[in-house]
Amino acid sequence: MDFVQHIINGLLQGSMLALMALGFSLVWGILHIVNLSHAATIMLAAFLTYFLWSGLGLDPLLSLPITMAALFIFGFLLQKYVINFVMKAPPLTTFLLTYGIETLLVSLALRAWTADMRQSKPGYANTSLVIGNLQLPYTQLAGIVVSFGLTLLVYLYLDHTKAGRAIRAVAMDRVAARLMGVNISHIYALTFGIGAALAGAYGALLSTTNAFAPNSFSIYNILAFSIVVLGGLGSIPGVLMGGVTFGLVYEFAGTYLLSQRDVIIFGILILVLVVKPTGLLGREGYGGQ
Amino acid sequence: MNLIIFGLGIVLATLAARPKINPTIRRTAIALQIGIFLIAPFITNTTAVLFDALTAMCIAYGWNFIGGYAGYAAFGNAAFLGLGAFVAAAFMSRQPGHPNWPWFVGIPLSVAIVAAVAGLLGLALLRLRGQYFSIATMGIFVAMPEVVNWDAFFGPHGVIPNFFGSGSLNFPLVRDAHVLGLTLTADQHLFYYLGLSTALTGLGLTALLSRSKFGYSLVAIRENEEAAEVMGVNATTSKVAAYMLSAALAALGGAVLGYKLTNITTEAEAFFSVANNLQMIIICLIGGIGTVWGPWIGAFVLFGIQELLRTFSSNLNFLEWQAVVFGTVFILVVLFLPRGLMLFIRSGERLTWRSFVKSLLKYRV
Repeated sequence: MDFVQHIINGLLQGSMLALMALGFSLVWGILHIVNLSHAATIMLAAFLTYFLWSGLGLDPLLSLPITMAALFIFGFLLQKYVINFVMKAPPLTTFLLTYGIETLLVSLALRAWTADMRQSKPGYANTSLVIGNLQLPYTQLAGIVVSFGLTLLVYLYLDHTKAGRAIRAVAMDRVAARLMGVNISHIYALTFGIGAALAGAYGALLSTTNAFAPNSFSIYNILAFSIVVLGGLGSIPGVLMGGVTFGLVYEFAGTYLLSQRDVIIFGILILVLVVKPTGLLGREGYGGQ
Repeated sequence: MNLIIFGLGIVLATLAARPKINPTIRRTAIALQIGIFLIAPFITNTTAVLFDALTAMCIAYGWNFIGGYAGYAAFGNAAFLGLGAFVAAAFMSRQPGHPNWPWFVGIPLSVAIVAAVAGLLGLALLRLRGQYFSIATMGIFVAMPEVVNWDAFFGPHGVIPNFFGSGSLNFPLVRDAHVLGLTLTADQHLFYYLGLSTALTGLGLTALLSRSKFGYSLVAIRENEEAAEVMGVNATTSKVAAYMLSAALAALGGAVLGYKLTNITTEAEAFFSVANNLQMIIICLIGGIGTVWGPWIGAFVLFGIQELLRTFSSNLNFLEWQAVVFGTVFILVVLFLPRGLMLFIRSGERLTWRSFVKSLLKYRV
């Protein structure tokens, strides 16, 4: 029974990790930016959710749309007025720029909110749905629903709306898309905004499941990168698969092998990069869908 | 006074770095520069900032080999900085179970060990290119503190019991020295000269190697790795050597930094920290990556800015705001000065507001 519980824990965590990496994958696949400010975006959302809950008493699940909207605006403006200035520079430049943004945001947050641990704890925070011997925490169940819901929405959005098709067109061929009348800088900002909103959704969920401080997020950049590499860049099902695989490996390796989680992530990352750099379901960017 | 020394350092280095300058002027500038840094502890009240700038410069020279010359942007060299401090402390500490060796044994040994570790990691990681390599090295940065704290290896019953003292170690204290009637205090003089020698090691190695076959093969790899291999460059050997060199200089800087701070822990902001990780890259970016004088100028500019801020904001605890300053400077440099000051020094082009705006608008969509 223990074994089944571990599988369930891994699946629950993994589906949330997939949501965490989805925005990162979109930004990387479409804008060709390895966005190192992703973790800081998650951090901002976690704090926003926490303050809405502790200050206004707003339930984290109800405030989820507010958090996502706020983070969308943040991401949109950041891309439009900062990152768009270096989009044609060598790839290292955007990488460095986002690392600078990450450092600035995290260090400002540390000054403003200190390194105290916080967690949003609505009434259902520490309760679980019990089926037989199995425990399913309500916050994580909410997480899996939000996670799959948003993944499906993104999938449909990219496939069936005009803006979604424009995004994919830009991913395929920037010059051709511009000739067809697509406003490139707007599409970049839109995509980055969506990425930030998805990171925001994860941050909101995370604030209910884990205690956090401004400096406890740095691992998410590497984790998101690893999940996207494992699943394959440019594939939404790949992100889901990468996330769930990571959730399971985390759970089992953490239980039976080592408690050094960061070493595990690093090990998997190196293994995947060296053995199969295109990932399990990989293709180049989101153009190929 | 420190600000004046930083300023003189920048001006004299600018003279020395000019490509078409009279060799006599260049030699005078370099000699004057070294002279100033030799007498610095006797003309300034505190050498703490100079020491920080010089060790940071040594670490930045290390990054410059892999990130600048070879074009492989390593993001985790702070891991080697921290590891260097810990290994050196493990050999030099007086705590039970540690050999308490003198610094001139402990520090070089630590540098050699860290370089060997980097060599092994490099053999695997340097098969990766671009952002993949960068993220993988960032993984080293995140995983290293866990390794140092790993009970199975360094715990009370580990493979090497208590080697890292469960993430906290002490360097032995340094006493003041009396030479020729002069009293040389540890913090003001002795550590300063140790720091200066690390910076000169970095500068010397860079000046020497950048004009050697090794240096040229790194530049060839940066420009086009396949072409370099066709031309007979052994890319793997050169890249791994550059990575080892960068780790060695990071470890050297880290060990000296730790020796002065005395007490080191994995938690401490001074070692496995984001600010450290960022600092070496900003220094290279400000000065100009892949150049001999770039890190020299960059370090003095960065620490000059910090010193200015410290002078004008005396009521702030500066260390707490350091990462904020670094993040801001980093963003501004990437946007406005992406190719560093050396570009202007080399081409003789003037640095004006217009050149900043030009840099900003160059790559926009």
